[in-house]
Amino acid sequence: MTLAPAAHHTATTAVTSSPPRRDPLRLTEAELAELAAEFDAVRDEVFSRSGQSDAQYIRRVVALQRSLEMTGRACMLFSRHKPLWWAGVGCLSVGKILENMEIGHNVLHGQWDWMNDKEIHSTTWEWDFVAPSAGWQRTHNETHHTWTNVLGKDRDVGYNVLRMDPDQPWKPVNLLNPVINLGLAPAFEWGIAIYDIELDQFLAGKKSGRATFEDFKRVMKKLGRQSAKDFVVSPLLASLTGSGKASIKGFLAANVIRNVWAHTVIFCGHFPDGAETFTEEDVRDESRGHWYRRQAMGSANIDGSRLMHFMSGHLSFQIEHHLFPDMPSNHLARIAPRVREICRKYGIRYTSGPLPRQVFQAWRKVCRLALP
Amino acid sequence: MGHPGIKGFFRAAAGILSYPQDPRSFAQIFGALSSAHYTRGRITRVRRETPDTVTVFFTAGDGWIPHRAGQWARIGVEVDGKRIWRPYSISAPEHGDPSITVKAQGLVSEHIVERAAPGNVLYLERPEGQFLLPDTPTELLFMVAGSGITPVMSMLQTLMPRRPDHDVVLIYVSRNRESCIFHDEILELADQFPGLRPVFWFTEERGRLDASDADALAELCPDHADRVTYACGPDSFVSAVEDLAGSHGGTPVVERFDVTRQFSGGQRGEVRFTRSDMTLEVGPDETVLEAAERAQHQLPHGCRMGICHSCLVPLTDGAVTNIRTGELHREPGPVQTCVTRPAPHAVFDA
Repeated sequence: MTLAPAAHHTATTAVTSSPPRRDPLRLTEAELAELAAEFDAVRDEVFSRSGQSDAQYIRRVVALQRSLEMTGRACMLFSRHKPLWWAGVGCLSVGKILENMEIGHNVLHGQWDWMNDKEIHSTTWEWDFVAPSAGWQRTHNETHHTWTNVLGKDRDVGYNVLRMDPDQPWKPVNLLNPVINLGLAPAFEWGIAIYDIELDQFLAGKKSGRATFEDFKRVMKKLGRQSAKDFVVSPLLASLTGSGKASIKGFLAANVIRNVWAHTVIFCGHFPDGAETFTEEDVRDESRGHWYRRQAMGSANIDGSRLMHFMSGHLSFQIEHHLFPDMPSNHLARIAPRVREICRKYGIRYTSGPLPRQVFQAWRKVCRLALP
Repeated sequence: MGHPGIKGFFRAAAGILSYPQDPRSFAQIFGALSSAHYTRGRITRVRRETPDTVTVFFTAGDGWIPHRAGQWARIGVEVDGKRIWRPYSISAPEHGDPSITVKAQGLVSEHIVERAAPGNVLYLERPEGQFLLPDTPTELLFMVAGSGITPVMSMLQTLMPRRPDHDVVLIYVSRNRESCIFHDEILELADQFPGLRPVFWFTEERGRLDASDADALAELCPDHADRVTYACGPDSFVSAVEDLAGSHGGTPVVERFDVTRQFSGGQRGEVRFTRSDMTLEVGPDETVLEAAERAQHQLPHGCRMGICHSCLVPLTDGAVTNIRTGELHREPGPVQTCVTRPAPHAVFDA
């Protein structure tokens, strides 16, 4: 293991747990095996519990989400009345956020596959997001979660359009980093949809033209249906009460609110100070212990209220989520203290901070890395 | 709503607004039985038959087809949050609301006997099975043991009202009077229809009935060799009936109830991929995915350590063990091939 922390990482680090007692990068193979056993034990404890209350939990969230969405759509039919417009936008925004994050993201990770219920299963779920589930599962579950923060492998480090790590070579286009990110936030679902087509992989000759075209067609088809629902059919129905225009504005507002929130939460996952990146050399012949260490070192949590955690789909427990991607999200808060303790014991920095600070640090990185 | 065309039209129209979810997913919020993925049923009544047996009556939603007497259906119930499917014979007569009669043995059956209550949702697959009544009336002999009575009860209740003059003998082996499911109903049915002659055999009083012993059987039913025979119960009992019938050239119609099955893990196993028509031996240290790859059979995969769920392939038969948890998995449905081994046989739709 030749991995050594680069100087720029330590310069601006906000250490949020007690100072490391050992250097996590100098752990021996035996220590890493111990670490893996400790994390495995956390996982096994959760997975050996009765799933009765977990199943009730996710079904209640799904029922809440569907009720919000139906209420929001009903309000939009009469959205020329201001209070109903606001109620509609509120219900739809929260509904879409829950659908994408606490439900969609987590279902697509297979967190609920153990229920053996096709109605809530990673192989059948299609989420209310322009990016089709299948393409996202490939780029996110396979690429990002397996190669987390490995430069040149994890394409989520900057999504091909941003320079998010000093070790990524600077190009003049990176001057636009802040502008691109500002534009990406409100259009996040569109950005992800385009990203999942993997045009860069096609151009690099790593993805066949046919596969790229199939993905493109799938995105266009879903994009068409998503747009028809929110921006054509629903407004047409609303126009029967003279609410057509108001409802278009309402649906646009709800979609943008969801996009900005999703973008905000996701940028806090790996970009705040303290989240490390790795090289392909670092991960060669990685054992489970190495893998756990990399996941913990490469991720960052957000501190906040239960409501904030819920609305972020528990991605605010990014470290726990990356250690155990298929663990049902309602357990992450409970295991977090144990994970923090294990990290402390092995000297792994447990990066965590309140939302405004994490957002600030992510944006600061976007701006700073615009320059060479 | 009646007309399927109209229903389809409304569903398609609602689907524009509910996309990407099926409109039925939203209808469920209002308590509808409809579902995009399953046929669902709702329990209407639960009747206790014996201390450890209940009959569960249910109404079935879209997708169900009326059962024929003697058939069974795979029923899904939730145990500790997990959907588990088991086959159950349907005990209700044809042309009525279906019911299953369940004896508390095994995880799912115990759950049903202890917890089933009116209003609960059941998940259903369509009735199937070839344990069926003959098309033309003949003299019949039913040989049943224990809960093997369940499909036969459906048959008797269907057959006797239709042909009251039918000549039917029922030999029913159970431990004692108390554990004899449908004892009183059978007597009532025999009262009403003299063509039905039930013979109860309680092993506590009379010892085991050797169903392959022609003389023992002749005492209970002298013309047993001339009758069309139906047998239902545990494997050993059914085989005994088959042996006897075989000795005088008959082939009984049979249904076997096997409660226990043996699975071994950690040893060599075998997988079968139906779509590519390929059977492979899986070594003691190999996963399903590794075995497939060794044979140049490409399966989807991602992390190869059981986290990303990219390697899900539907298990259609048999069982697998999770090499990380040691957990046995035998529900048909998607499984992670990168961390499972056949236990010892598994069939995949791939």
